[in-house]
Amino acid sequence: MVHLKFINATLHCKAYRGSHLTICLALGGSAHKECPRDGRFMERVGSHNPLPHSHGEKLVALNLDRIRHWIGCGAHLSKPMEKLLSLSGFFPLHLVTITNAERCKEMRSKQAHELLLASQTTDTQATDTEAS
Amino acid sequence: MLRTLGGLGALPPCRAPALLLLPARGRKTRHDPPAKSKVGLVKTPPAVDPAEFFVLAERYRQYRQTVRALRLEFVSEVRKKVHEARAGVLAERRAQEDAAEHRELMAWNQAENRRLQELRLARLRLEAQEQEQRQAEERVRRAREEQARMQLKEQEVLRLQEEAKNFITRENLEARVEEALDNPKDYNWAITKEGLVVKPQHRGS
Repeated sequence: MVHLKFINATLHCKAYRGSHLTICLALGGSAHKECPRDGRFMERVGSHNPLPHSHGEKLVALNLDRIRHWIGCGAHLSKPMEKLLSLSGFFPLHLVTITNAERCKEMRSKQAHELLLASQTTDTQATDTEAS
Repeated sequence: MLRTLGGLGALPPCRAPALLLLPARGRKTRHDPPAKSKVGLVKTPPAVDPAEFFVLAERYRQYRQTVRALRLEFVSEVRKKVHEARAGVLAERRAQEDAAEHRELMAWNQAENRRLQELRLARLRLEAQEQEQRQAEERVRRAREEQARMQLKEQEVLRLQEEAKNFITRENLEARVEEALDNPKDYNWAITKEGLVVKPQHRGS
């Protein structure tokens, strides 16, 4: 069996992408080191481990000072980067996060409602059988 | 599928978030004709709920507005920093300090140069004096040598003059010949290593 271990997981790098400067997530520390994602980067601006560790937490580090500076110099952001920043509170909450959260809440409430209905019907059935 | 799992939720552990996948699906290239089963097909986009659409559009507008405001603020910050670095108070003070330091260093350098120039001049003077001395000595030596040579030559001349008195001339020829015949010289002698002249002695008979 072959395990792919994340030692220091994905990084946030400032890379040149089609003559634009982007702050994006790059792959590092895993078995596939030759990804084209991290061909040429200027500065490492944080780290992000997508696997939860022993206490069930996922560690994220962000160098906000440098991110501010680079956004001031006109860097673009990738979607996952925007989501991370919105979760950290630096940016307003991203819409995808909000929509996903709303959908999750709907599903959970629907499931709870269905469970409630199911339990109610079993109770009524029990009372009916008791009465008869 | 990624949407249901969430942007940062439980991704499969083997692959990182696939941001830059190129569109590479389907068996057909763009030049293949569409299939017979799809002849009368009219593709319609999925229906849009106007209320949800309005809500989403509004949220997007607000989000983008906020993000743009933040971005502009950061840009202005960076520009202010650059301006400060280039023409702010601290930069001016630093520039003045640099200029003062430069002037100091230049003055010190010139003082050093003057000092070294003086030393150099003294050294050159000494060397010139030594040169003069050497040349004077040389002249004296040459004069002495010349004198010695002249003396030798004079002595030579005198010796020659002296010897000339004993030369055989046409006038003395007869007299000298008579003289030589009258005084026969005997060269039959040898000399030892110690310098003793050995003359043959008539030994025996």
